[in-house]
Amino acid sequence: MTALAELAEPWEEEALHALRAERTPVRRLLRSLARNPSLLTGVSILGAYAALGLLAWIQYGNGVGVLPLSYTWAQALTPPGPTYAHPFGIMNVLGIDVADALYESIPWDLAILGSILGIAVALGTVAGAWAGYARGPIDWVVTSLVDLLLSVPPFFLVIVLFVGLYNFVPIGYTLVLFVLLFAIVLWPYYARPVRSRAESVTAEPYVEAARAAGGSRARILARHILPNSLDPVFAQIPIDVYQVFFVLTVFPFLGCWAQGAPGHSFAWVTPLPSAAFPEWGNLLAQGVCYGLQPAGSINFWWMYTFPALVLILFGVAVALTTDGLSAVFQPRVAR
Amino acid sequence: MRLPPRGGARLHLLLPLLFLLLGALPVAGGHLVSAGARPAAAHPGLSLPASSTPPPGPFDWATFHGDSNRSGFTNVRGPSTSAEAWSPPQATPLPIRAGPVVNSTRIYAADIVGNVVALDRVDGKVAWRTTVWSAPTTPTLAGGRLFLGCDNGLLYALNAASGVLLWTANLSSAILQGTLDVSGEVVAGTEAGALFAVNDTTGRILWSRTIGAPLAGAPAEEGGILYAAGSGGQLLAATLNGATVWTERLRNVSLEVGFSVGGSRLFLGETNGNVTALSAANGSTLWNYSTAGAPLEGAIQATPATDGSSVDWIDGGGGIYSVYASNGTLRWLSNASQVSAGYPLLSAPVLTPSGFYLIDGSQTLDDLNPATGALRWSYPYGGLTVYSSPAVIANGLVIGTDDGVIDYFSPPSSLASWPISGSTVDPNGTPLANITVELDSRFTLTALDGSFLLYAPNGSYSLLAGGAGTEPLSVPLLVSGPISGLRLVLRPLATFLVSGRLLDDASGRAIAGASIALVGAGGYQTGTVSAPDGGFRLQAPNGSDYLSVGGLAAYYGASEHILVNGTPLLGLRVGLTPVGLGSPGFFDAYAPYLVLAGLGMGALVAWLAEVSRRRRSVGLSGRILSRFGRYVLMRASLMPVQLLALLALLFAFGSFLPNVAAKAYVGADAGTILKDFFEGYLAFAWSMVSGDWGYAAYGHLSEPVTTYIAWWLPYTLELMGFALVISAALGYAAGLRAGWKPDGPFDFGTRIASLVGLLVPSFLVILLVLGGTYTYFVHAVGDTPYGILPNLAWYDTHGGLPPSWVGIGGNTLPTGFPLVDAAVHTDWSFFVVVLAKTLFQATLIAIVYVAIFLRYARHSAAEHARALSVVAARSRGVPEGRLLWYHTGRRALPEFVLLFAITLPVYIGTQAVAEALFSDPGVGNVLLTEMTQVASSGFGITHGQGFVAGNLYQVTILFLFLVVLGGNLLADVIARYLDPRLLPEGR
Repeated sequence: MTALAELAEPWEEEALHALRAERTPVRRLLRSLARNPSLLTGVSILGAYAALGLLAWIQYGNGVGVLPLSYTWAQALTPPGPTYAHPFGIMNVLGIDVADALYESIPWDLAILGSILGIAVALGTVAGAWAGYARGPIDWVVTSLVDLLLSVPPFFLVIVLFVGLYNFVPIGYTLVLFVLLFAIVLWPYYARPVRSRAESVTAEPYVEAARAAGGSRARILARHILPNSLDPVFAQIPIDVYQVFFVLTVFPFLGCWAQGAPGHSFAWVTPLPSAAFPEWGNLLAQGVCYGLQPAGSINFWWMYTFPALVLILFGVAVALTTDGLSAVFQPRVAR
Repeated sequence: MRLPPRGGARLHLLLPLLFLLLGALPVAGGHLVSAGARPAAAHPGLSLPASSTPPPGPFDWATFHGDSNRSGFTNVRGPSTSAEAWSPPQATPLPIRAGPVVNSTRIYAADIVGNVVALDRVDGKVAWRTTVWSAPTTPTLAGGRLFLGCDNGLLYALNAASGVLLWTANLSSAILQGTLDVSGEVVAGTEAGALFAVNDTTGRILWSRTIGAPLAGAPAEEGGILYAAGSGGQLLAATLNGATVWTERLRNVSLEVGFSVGGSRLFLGETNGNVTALSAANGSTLWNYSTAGAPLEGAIQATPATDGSSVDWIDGGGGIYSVYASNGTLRWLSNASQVSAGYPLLSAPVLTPSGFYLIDGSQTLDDLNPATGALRWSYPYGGLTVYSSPAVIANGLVIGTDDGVIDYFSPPSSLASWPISGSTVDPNGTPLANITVELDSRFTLTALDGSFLLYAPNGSYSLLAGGAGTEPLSVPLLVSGPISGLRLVLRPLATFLVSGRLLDDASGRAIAGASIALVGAGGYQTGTVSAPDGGFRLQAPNGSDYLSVGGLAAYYGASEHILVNGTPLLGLRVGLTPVGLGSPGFFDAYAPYLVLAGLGMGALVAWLAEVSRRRRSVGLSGRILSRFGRYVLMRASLMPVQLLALLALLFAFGSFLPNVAAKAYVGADAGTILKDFFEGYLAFAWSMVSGDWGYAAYGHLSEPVTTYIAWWLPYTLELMGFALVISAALGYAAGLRAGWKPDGPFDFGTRIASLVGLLVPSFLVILLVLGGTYTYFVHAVGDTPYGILPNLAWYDTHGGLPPSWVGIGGNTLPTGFPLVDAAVHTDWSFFVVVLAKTLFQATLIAIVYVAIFLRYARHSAAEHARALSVVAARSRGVPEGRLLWYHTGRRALPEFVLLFAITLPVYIGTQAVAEALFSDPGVGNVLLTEMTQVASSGFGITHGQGFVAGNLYQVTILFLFLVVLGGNLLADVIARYLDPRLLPEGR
């Protein structure tokens, strides 16, 4: 390298300098962050969520799992809308300040989504990359399992598994069960595309070169195969944010909504320990249920709009981040 | 390195799943047996004994109004001053309005949002707290469990010692008034007007009955007969199996609080201020006490109390009355009460031999002399409201208040009554349970071991004992101190065999599983369930007896009068009239042929495709099938394997694991459990595959599952067809257009819309659109958008009644597809309404679904728009429109088809939610209902006749799974037909 630098023309020196500057991963990430507004925006929003979540966690301490319910608000027939004191208004029936409840939910939602996606992505990418690289019996086992799990709609599968197992779990730990089950259901969605990408990456000359240079299996997998097979993961993450919130939202909604709709017998199914648990999907479900009656006159818009906005903003941030990350890992795909 | 061909490898797909299950099962079993992570009592049936009704002791106030009669009478002396046992603690954060219950060690109470607290009776310290998150009614204590019926429709069973939740049962509508535990059943009534009996150990629903109006008053039981009342004056007397004994409808009566039972009489407090006494034997009115015109008249909102000889109550105006139970004449009218200050008087009063305790109109706790109505002492609560009914125990009274405090009035006082205890046995020495033992109009029921405990002051009495199946007994008894070890030998009532068969009136076929109750002379009762051949055998005493048959949703109940005359009565034939169900229709009858025809069509299409593929291919000599043909064959052969794997999943998680929990294999080794699993799975898989799906009760009908599927599947398929066509058109056009110019305004809008569509739940989008268009739809179509068929109101302007070709299940004949059937019968106004509704719903589903679909589609369209062939075509001068819709469109189509297959589960979720919101009788709606029911009922999964039919749930999942599987297969095949490059490598 030194010899090369000595021989280099000034413009080549400059290019080499640029190359060197990008060599540490942190620098590379920082540079791409600066060049990539979508990644920057996404990461900042997620960072803000994380900071608020940490703050809420510290502030509520041990009481972070229980919403402070107000009997007076619960009984209010026309709950107050957004005011200076309660910027997101009040939700009746449950009896909560919407802003406070959403704020208290942040650590829970980040934890739920983080654990589900973390486990699923880790399991899926490692299994997929390994299967695509190693082939043979490992590939066969992973592919068979993936094909099997992918043939059942994920939310059916989660509920079926949850129903079968939740009697074995102590009350209060159903949320942990839910997280584990969801991760188990979702990992094939990462393993399948990563595996096929890894299969083609394995055939690339640079992997061949790394192998020829004496790189160990683990090193080749970690250094070459995995980073270059990550692209499909980023496309899938926002979809899975949807999958998780679908289950967390639809079931509390149907259970709550059926209470006021004769002729329905939906039970209130939720992995949460109670209906008054701080979780965005749960709050949104009850906000819609208590705040919006299409054929009637009730439309307390703040009860569902703010939870929905908090959810959308989070989802947008996730999508921006993953789009940006995919540009970092696959620069040629970048716009 | 190279793998064998993929088709061969995948045939063993089942194995990994089995490994998983094998690995998981011993863990599950071990967990159960050791019960380490969770208290053993949390598993129903593990450590708690089967519950029984122990004789009430001096410190028992176990349910609403003290006992299962709801008499509000307790045979102990309550407090005679307002002294309190301990300074009242702040027990709950919110008002306590349900009455507390008490046993010898604890006081249990719950506030209006479901915070449940157990206090130590001696010092008032909190023993445990928990929450059930819904407003409970007065709890019931039985067999070491605390049962809470709640406003959210759930019945909770808590371990009374620890507060640990044992099970919940979903009664699907708010549980009103109190619950009742009798002979191992918890009985509760709901706002929807149904009476449920739930196994108190497992939480499984045993039976349900409809009353027809929201329950008024807590269900009561006396001598093995249950009594329940509806707010419109409906009265039901039923056996413990749910079979009707009698029903009665009181005209022009409305009830809020129901009734108490005492001395074979029901005393009803009515909202017009009257009290009516009915015979408990047949529901006939005995007397009516009218307070019309009295100075303190008002609706009765608190259950009257009765000791069998008098009935005492307070009405809404604050008037306190005592009348003779025998004839309804006034004993006394109290002048001690205050005029009501506008509070509803909801606290049910309590009668004891020495005092009559009630909350009067000025929120004061009064103790009146029960003989004269004179005030003995009172405790004013001032401005604080008290709706909770007091619980009275020996020398004590417990009451909850609106500030969340529990008061325990209990001055030191001497025990004035002596305990009299003993047991009842038959001549062989076997203990007799549920025998009524009566001493000086104080009575109790014997426990399972035949024991009883009563209290009586000094005096000379005659002790009476009697119950179902025994000759009554009367012995003189002199009480001058405690008496224990009394042994009452009751001779069995002479009974004779009554046997016969239950037959369908219409078809003559035998009816199995119906409950048959026999009510005979002298309070004799027995019951059985008809055998598979319809046969039943019962024992009946001499005299005039009644047989009543019920318990089947598909038949009307019947009751038959029989006369037993000293000899067995054999060969009875009881006919039941079937509830009209209509013909299940073409689909049901011809389902196997339709499936065969579908398979044949599929094979034909595949063969045609194969032929056309072969023509275009080269170098196929020596091969029976082209690459495409082999792919189709391989892909299709995958389906049975996937099916078996899904069945294993459904069986393991839908039936086996819940049953493992319910059966609690104590001490069973892993081998037994595995054997049970495999045998169970084989039977399950065979019954599922062979179409033997059993019967299921859904709503008020009990039908073969195939019939339900035949009713519901056409609706779902029809809606799906429309929604998919709209989605495909929208998704294809929008996806292409968005991918055409990435980052253009259209693409930007699409991206935003698809993100929002991803994150805003489908139900919110649907409800918002529905809210905006509801009135226009009703105006334009003349019917609401709810349902698939016209609503009943629509028929008012179109002939009055549904046409004859609409079946009882809401199904249309002959095909089951409403649009096709309307066309067949040329009923065009019907056709238009159904079409409008279907289109409206399909469009909403499509909007939600397309937003999700686009997230995938724009990526692939963008890639194809940049393809070389498109660029080349542009350079040839092909116009942009043609480039977009023809060149790019053709290229993108196979991938769109595949993307559609990938998102099919998302689509099905969307449609299921839409069906639920629109109350459509579709498979998706039913699936969501059943899923939530099964999930929340804990161990409620049953095969066969049960409220929650696990088989229905499993079959609906199976069907939707088949739709997904078939859709995936079709999409895979179509995509490969359109683009052979997707085919696996090989010659």
